[in-house]
Amino acid sequence: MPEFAATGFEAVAAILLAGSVVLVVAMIVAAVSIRAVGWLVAASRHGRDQWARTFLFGVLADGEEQAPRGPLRQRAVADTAMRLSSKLRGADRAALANWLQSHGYRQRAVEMMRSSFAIRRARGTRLFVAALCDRETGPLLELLEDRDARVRAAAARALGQCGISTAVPFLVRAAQSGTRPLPVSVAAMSIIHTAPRSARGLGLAWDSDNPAIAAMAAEVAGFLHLTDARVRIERLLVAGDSPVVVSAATALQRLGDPRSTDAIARSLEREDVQPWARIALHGIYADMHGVRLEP
Amino acid sequence: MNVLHTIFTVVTTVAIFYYLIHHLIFGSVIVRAAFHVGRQQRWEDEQAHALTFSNPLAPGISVLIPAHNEEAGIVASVTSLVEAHYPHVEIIVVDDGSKDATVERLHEAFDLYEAELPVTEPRVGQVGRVLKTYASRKAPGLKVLSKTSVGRRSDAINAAFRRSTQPLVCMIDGDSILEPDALLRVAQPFVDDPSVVAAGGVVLPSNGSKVERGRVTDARVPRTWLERTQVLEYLRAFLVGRSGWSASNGLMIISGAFGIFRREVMAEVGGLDEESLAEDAELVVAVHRAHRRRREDYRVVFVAEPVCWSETPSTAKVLARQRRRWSHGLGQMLSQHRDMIGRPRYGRLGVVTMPYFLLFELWGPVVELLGLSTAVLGVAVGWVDPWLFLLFVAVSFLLSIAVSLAALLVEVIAFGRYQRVSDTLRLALAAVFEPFWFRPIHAIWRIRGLVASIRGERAVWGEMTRKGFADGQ
Repeated sequence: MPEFAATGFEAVAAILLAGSVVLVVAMIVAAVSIRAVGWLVAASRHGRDQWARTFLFGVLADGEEQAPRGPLRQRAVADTAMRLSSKLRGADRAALANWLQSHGYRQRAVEMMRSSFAIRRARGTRLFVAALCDRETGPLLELLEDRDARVRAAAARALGQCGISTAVPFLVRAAQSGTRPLPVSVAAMSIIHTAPRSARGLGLAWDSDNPAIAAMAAEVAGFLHLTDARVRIERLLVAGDSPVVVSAATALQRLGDPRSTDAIARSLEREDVQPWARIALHGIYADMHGVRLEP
Repeated sequence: MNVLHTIFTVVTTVAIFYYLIHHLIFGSVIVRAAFHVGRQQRWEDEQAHALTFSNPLAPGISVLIPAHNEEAGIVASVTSLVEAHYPHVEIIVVDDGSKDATVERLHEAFDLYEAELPVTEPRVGQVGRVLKTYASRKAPGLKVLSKTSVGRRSDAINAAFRRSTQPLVCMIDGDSILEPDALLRVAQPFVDDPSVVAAGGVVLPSNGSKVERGRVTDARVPRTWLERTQVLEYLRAFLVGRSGWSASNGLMIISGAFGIFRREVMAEVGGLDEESLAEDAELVVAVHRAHRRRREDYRVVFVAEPVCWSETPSTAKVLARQRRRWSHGLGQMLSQHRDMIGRPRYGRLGVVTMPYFLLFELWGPVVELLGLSTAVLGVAVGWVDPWLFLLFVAVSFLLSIAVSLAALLVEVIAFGRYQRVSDTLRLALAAVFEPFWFRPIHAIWRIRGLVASIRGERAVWGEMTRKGFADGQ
């Protein structure tokens, strides 16, 4: 049995006490001083961001600005360019991309995308988009198979931002991957952003074993009003499970082609459709006949 | 005398090991939390949020707000949701038998008219009778449901859930204010990872902060020590506790004041347990149980950035009722799911989180009291050196202060929501004083809750007095 009045316990307690006091004092000092230092750092960063914004507006105005020296300012320009690129359109967007390319930012983005650190690869995709030459998507497509799911998602978003519809089959394939899948919702959003004019790129999705991908294809086609997908979507009404059937019917409702009403009527005859899906189908069927069902 | 001495030695040794294990587990939770928050901060991607915001395929969210006598804060709360940065938001407010002017305030602010609100989810039950349902002319996504109260928040949530239509379901309180991008941030994990089934965000006390048009425009630390200490408690519970448990997919509690679930998952477990006082924790545990049984991949995550500001009790009487209820609910919930405790089949939740909450959260105050009484007895009869006793008490207090300061440090380094140095200093002082006054009385409230759960007392929601958010408060 231990003896609690022994000197050994006193020594342990004294060491614990001294350690705890030092820990507490150090943490109080750290909390207060980090708050104060953090305020200074934030003010300095804000100043650099302001400077970078003014600098990039100068680039957009005359395109003659020289790249800044010093890593902090270079990083501020890169970060601001990433944010700015999604807000610019047309000639301004092209001017920014040209300047970034001619001053080595594109190369820097590619190096970042080959980094061994996932977060650096993900940031690289954003800088790459900012400095993008329209048709060059190779490095982004490679990252759709990255070992880190967040990097894959970042690459998909970047492709969506570029608006390159030729990337659609790659996004579908990435979502179908058995080993390194891209989240279906991320793929769907990226495809929507690329805004393809035809459903051809969704080819693999219609026959996918994964119901979520088939449903995604129907939703995307519906939102983008891809009328050439109508027949494919109608097939899903017959073959898919309840969530796929509802997604397909909703897509057909969006397409608004009266020829689809027969297919929806046939799906209502299916006995394996769940009750909640049946309610949704009734609503869509009525809507396509111009009837509004009372709740 | 020898027998007594032996008992004393055994109890003291057990208490020392108890504290040692507690601090080891919580120490590892702190380390995990620091890494978790750090990783989330590094990966924070404004671009991803912007793309989700601008995307028609972003999953819609039904926000369910139970309101019982919430006339003071309901308009600010709903306004914060109407103006939330999210593409598809459906807001369902449930006036749960309010005796004040909760519905009238909503009528005035959002121009309500009577409208049908069909049941879309019959799998979830509801006890209270629906009296009237409304839609809004000013805010198209807003629906209001007036029902008779059965004294349970869970019944109000279930009533709203039965009428919700979106694939994600978020629950907040009637006195809560969401930051404009809070829904966007807390929904992002659902977009990025299909295996995410539930997510929670941070809840912080709004007491003392400046609120304008349904937004907290200036986060301030409250004036009273009671409220200030609660800020510290919330930082500790969310930034350290939930971040740490979430890092190992062992998160057991998502606050009912700000939690979001996949609709299908919530419907599968039958919505909130109508009998439970800890219905939010019960729902999370039921979700874990359902997925573990099916051996499905799933994640329950905590996002440390988005904040829901909520009014916390400003008097000891109301706080005592709240804490007693929390402890009662925890005991009730752990008893209900006792077959999961210590079972490897239920993963880290069953092996670590639930035993931790049982031993250290629920029974902690009792063990503390027992250990302290035994030590005092030891000093009285001369078995323990008084100085040694004081040294151990001091170490215990200092470690408790260090845990609070760790939470404060995470907040200061990662988020800095309280901008003023003076506020940081006030919170640091609250951390220093807390073990001397708040912890003992809190232990008593928790013991009362524990006793209530052991006696199987019927769970009833208490009345909370709200001050509300006057504009510019």
